[in-house]
Amino acid sequence: MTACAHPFAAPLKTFSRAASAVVVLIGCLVRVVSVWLLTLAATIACTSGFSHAAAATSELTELSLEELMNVEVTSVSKKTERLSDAAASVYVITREDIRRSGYTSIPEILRMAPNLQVARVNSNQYAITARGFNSTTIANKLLVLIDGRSVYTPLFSGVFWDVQDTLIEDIERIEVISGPGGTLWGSNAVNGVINIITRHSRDTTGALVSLGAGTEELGAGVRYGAKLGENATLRVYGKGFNRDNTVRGNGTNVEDAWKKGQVGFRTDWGRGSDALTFQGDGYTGTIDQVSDDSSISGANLLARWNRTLQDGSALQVQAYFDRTRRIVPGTFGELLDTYDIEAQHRFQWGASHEIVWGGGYRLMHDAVTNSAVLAFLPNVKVLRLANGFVQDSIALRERLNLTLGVKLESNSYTGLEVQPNARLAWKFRDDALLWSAVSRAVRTPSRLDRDLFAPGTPPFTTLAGGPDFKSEKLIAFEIGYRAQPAPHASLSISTFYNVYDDLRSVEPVPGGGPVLANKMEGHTYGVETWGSYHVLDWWRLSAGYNYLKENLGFKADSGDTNIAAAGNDPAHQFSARSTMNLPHNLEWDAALRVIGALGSPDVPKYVTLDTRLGWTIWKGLEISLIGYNLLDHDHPESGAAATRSELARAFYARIVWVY
Amino acid sequence: MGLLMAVLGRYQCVCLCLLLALWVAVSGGLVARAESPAPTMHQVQAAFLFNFAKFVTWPDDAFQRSENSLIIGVLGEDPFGAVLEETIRDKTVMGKKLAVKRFVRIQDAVNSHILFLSSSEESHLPQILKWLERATVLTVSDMEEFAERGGMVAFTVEDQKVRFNVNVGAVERVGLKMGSQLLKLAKIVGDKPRMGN
Repeated sequence: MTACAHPFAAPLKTFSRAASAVVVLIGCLVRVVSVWLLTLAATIACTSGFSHAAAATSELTELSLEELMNVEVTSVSKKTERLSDAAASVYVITREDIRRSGYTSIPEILRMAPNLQVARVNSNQYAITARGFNSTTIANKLLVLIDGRSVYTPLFSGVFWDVQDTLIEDIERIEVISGPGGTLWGSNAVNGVINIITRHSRDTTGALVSLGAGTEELGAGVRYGAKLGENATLRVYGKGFNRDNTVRGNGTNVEDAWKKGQVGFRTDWGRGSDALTFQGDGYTGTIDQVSDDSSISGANLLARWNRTLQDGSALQVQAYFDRTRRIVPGTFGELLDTYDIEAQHRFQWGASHEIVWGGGYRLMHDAVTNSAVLAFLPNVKVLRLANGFVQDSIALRERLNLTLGVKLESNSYTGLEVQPNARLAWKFRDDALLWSAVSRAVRTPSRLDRDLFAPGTPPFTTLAGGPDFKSEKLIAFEIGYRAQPAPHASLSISTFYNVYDDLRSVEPVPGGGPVLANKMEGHTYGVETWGSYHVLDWWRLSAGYNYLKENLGFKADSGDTNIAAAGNDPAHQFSARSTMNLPHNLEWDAALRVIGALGSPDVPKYVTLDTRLGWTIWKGLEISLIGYNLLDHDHPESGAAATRSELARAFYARIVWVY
Repeated sequence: MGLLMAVLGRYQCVCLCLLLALWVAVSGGLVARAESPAPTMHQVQAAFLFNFAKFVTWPDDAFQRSENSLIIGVLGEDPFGAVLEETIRDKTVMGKKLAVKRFVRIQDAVNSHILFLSSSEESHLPQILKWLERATVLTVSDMEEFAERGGMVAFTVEDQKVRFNVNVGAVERVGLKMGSQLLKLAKIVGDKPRMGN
């Protein structure tokens, strides 16, 4: 039905726009690359590079042990860069953190990252973002990866959190990076990247059974892992849950209860310098609606091959297929197939350069079933995404590391996009790091921005996608500091200043419905800080605080006035956590959250406490009792008063047996 | 409109380039002032590994399966790059050639004589050490408290100098002998008592 709106103009326009964009961007590209090459040349000239390193290496073996003990060294490990050395705002949620949180879903677990804003909308929906712009459909500036598989949807560039799951016990860690990460991580990493990494199957041999029941939820999970001969291991898992509906402020029930079942496997094989991973998941579920229930289902398969070459360089090739299907009767249905292949190569060049380069190609076949309420036109669309990137991490001098990188990405809507970044890390003490970064990132158009029309048939008096909708752009400036001020304490402070341009606006059209365009702009700034302290051997305290200031507005030629559409974010957010190991194999954990008020729609500030009491009865058998939202009977976290859900105080009991 | 778009895009790119150039100028200055580069930590660690080969004694049968060469293995993500090869190039110890091998799985690494455990393997260190319980392999790593956790030689850094801790009990349990040249320079540590469960 796009055909209805613009029978022939659209393709022509797209072509000429693409062509002019390519010309402009090639110009930019030349500049960026030439600067990069210049830097490279300068640094190579300045640090004497390869030959010197080789000479130094052979000289070192001539030294006596005593002399060797007195040699001063330059930088610490570059290759296996620890996250504590990364020039970015990174928070890691560990497996132990997850176990002790008592949370049963990935979005709840993400509440532990102080650099994220998580708001539960109702029983099955979440709004999650970093550095602002939060909402279920507006939170579109985050890249989420599960074992390297991208799970944000090209439908609206956000994430359907209700289908992102795995056996919680199999998550190794979750890396949360706030700030742009597009150069290395890929598209949509504008305000942040969430990287969910599951455990190697070698680490999950044996059986696990977990059962849980509570006031709002029932859940069960099983996993079995085994060796497959000399070189390989395998695990398979299954899980299911049933989550209760929420209520409105006036006490009436919301029809949003849901249930879901999921199975999956992971197998890892390794010999010599090769490692191969093959994994997949399949799930199906239903969500209550006032009319017919919604259904969600999907499956994915991923293969990854890693080879460490004899010179120490490393090659990775990964491919996956992902299918998701969502049917919301009365609103829309979608069947999305994603095919993705990517490769990257990492190598050391001389003594001071570590280079990562690679590329990838993704094809998405998106078929939408339209309704009377809304339509995506054309209803079937094939989206292509091709990219190439290179990043050089340069040891400028002792303890000073410069990273320069650029990603070129071509998408079906706007053609080529350039995402460069420069990062500087200065490890001025062994336990303290000062870092800074400048990056450009873009959010390329989603189907919603270009192809959405409402109502489902013309005239589209409610809303129409913008035929000229272009990428939203960000230039981000960041400075951060990370340290271990005392042996049992850690601290991180990140500050950012983000300049946005071409943000989405809704432009009134005389004699027609409003159209999506790019006439919002502005800047945001803020601070993210967190720290932890081992008060005693058995007691750890951690806390985080966020401040966010958004100054957004419309361009002079815009007719939009609804700035609230940009998202709804608290200016202040505070969290604290206590984990205690008590005698008799008891653990007591508590998490406090103070979330500032939201402006529009108005959501009051709330304070909430979750706590868990865990008891290991004997080796491998653990019982835990968990309370959520303990400080009030219920509270809302998102949405307008008349239609939003309240999240009630809840209790949950769980038993986990590992054999 | 298209022109405006183009100009805006160009303007932003130019800004970015200027910024990068400024950055380069600043960092370039820093580089120019840097003196001839000191060796990296991994170059010095590699030289230490070579010295371990010289001053540790393996039982004779430890060389039967390696065609009389002494194998320095790296398990997991290799932090050395080409440095290790450069270090041992054309070197022999007690008439044995030195060779570097890299491994992904511990099962393949048990015939090494010296095995460097990369920090990428930290999450399953207990399983690795269990696998090596009876193997005549000198385990070396720069993970924190490696020697206290049952490893043999742990690299540390003090005042920008590489130091090493040795867990003598762990070395002797598998029948390796460490020369006094090494022991007198090492900090001797013991197994840390296991906590709780």
